[in-house]
Amino acid sequence: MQNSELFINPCRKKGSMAGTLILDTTLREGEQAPLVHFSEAQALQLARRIDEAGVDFIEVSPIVGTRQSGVASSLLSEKLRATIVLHARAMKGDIDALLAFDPTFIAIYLSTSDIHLASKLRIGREEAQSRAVEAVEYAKSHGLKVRFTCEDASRTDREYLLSTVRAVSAAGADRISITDTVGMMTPVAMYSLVKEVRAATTAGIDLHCHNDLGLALANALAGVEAGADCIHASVNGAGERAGIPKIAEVAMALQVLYGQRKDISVEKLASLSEMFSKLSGLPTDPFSPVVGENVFRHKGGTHLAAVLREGRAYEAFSPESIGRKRRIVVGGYSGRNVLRYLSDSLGMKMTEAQVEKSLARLKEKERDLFDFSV
Amino acid sequence: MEKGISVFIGAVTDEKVKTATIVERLKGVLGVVTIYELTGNLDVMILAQSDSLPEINKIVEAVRACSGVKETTTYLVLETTQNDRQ
Repeated sequence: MQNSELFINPCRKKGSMAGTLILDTTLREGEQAPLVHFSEAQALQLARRIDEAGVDFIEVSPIVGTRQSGVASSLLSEKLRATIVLHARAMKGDIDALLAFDPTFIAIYLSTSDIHLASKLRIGREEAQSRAVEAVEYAKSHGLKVRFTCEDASRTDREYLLSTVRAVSAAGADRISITDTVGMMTPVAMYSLVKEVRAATTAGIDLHCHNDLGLALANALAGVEAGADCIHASVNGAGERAGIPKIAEVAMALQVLYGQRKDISVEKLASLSEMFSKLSGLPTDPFSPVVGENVFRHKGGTHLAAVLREGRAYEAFSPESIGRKRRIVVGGYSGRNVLRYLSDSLGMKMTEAQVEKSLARLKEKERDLFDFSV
Repeated sequence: MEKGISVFIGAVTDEKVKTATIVERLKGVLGVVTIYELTGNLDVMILAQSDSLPEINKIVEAVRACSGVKETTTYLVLETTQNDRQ
């Protein structure tokens, strides 16, 4: 049973955000994170599992090196369910390099903000826009589907951004990526920005939101509500600095809050996260939404009393809906309810006096003693 | 924090069945970690462990179902202390 059938969110909006797409960029953005490095075999293993989860696009950057090149070649030949998107700069040379892989879909990027134009590219707005248009036209002339990424879009002068969006759209861009490169947006600001971009183009709109202030998912969802139709994510949120939205939280937010993307195999998200942790050596944060160890772990006495009667009391979605199990922590925070629950479950027939005595001993501990699944 | 539940299952056995036979049967129960033969009110004490409460229940049921086990009492382990002075 899907989680959305078990747990209906009162804020859920019906009829909106039909079929939001998910692009996984674990092997591009994710590998740009410190300590994240996969061998070619590991990258392919991970990509196959990401594909099995049901994402729409898998982004890779073959021009970075021979290993990434090998990964891209293999993925393109494997005929995965997801579309493989090859990522490079908006430059003829880079596009030519991508063409060697015989792709169907490429993503080319160029900064649009003044700070990037001045400090990174050292060119003016006019030249940048010309480069963007030329690159899109060149890629389109080779029959490719093209996403143009406005890097640092959220800090770009609004009129210039919209002008660039119109220009690359006219040049044939199939999708335009609006990036919050340093995670400076708020959901309201992102909603407003995407509304304007939506009005400026008929191309699909991607959202690439960084998590520097912990708002990446909120910003992405706000942007989607405003008309964007694709969210960039990575396994465990891997990416530059604080990363980007986690694929698990994106998938579950779409299912639980908006009742869409039921085709995503959410029961595979936890094992996907574990695989990433194992391959990267970076453990999953226990507080990580959806896949974190603590998500279905209940400890406090009053919370636990309610959860033992009805999981929805303290769970946004059921653990069963994503193939996980609820866990109960026993220790100094426990109440008598958990002891009665264990006594009943195990046929221990503890008397009230025994429950009180055990509870007093638990309280003495002032720490967590053990946990178990139910 | 320990992961999983540990219980001791105290059993009274049928005196007509050899304890060694009962112990062999208990060794076949998945989740049974240690079996102690005792004197006194209880004949056998079994340590069982599992991550899952339903699995612990299955272990207890399997112990009860062992031929030669007459009755059982389950005790939940709250904490285990190793004696580091020995």
